[in-house]
Amino acid sequence: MHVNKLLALTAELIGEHRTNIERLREMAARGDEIGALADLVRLIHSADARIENLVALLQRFKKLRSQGADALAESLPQAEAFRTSRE
Amino acid sequence: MKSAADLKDQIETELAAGADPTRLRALFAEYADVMQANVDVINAKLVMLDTLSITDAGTGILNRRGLDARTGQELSRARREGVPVGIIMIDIDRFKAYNDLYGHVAGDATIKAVAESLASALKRSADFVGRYGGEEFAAVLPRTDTEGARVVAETMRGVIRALAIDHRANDGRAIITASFGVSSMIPKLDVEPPNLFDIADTALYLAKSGGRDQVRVVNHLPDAAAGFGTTVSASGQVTSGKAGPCT
Repeated sequence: MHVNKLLALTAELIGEHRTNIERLREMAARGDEIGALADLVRLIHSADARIENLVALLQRFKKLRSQGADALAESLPQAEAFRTSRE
Repeated sequence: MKSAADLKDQIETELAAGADPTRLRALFAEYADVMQANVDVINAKLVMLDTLSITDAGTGILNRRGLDARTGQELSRARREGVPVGIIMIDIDRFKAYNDLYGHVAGDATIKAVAESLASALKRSADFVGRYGGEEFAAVLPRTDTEGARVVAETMRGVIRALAIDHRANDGRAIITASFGVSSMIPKLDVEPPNLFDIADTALYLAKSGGRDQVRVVNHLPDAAAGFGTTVSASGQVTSGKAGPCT
């Protein structure tokens, strides 16, 4: 996966993440069923951890690239693993 | 403020204990607020990474990737609207000799100074300049015909000369100068950023072979189809002012 695609994917995930957070706020205000709210919290929590990992991975790409290493090749397995887990 | 992880643990614990739904909903809302703040921080990091990925570390202007990406966007826009895109290729004169004479540290500083000067010569927010590679730069001027691009190139030539950076191995000119290749086109289908850069590169070659420290203009590729010929002018001589379609 190309680093620019990973940037685009992360931006897309952040967009979905924001939508879910907003949904949680609306559902809580509306008094929706507690079980549904709890499920959404778990989903948001899991997505947040993944996004943080992705951003850390991208920061690593950047650092390795600035050191002249082939960051993409080295980190490719992690990126692919993330994509697979998302699918 | 509690962390998102602490709040989630608290929610799970109170859920298991069968806490009051009103209290739980308040916790959910608090969790949403904390998570929103987290997202804002993460997003700021991502924006910075995105910016860094298209920025040349040595000069602060666009790198080749950023240049290609933005040029591609401008070509698409120009193709849609049927308007010209002006392009300027810039190369610092006798730069290898400069590095040999003054060293690479001075060379890097000069490239940075030239890049900043080129950027300062662009007055419209839509115009941009990037590092094409080494001591070569490219500027892209949306909605600009050949004559407009030539005028900008002359301004750039002036600002680089005004830096007055010592260069004793520059064919007797004594200061850093640059050569400029200018072109403009109304892009048609299948025109990619490299095509546009190649055309201006032809003009840059003419500027170099014509003695350097000058602006040359080429309207179209010499072998362009449909009868579009090559129009060349030396610095200061007005070429045909309108951009033509590129096949």
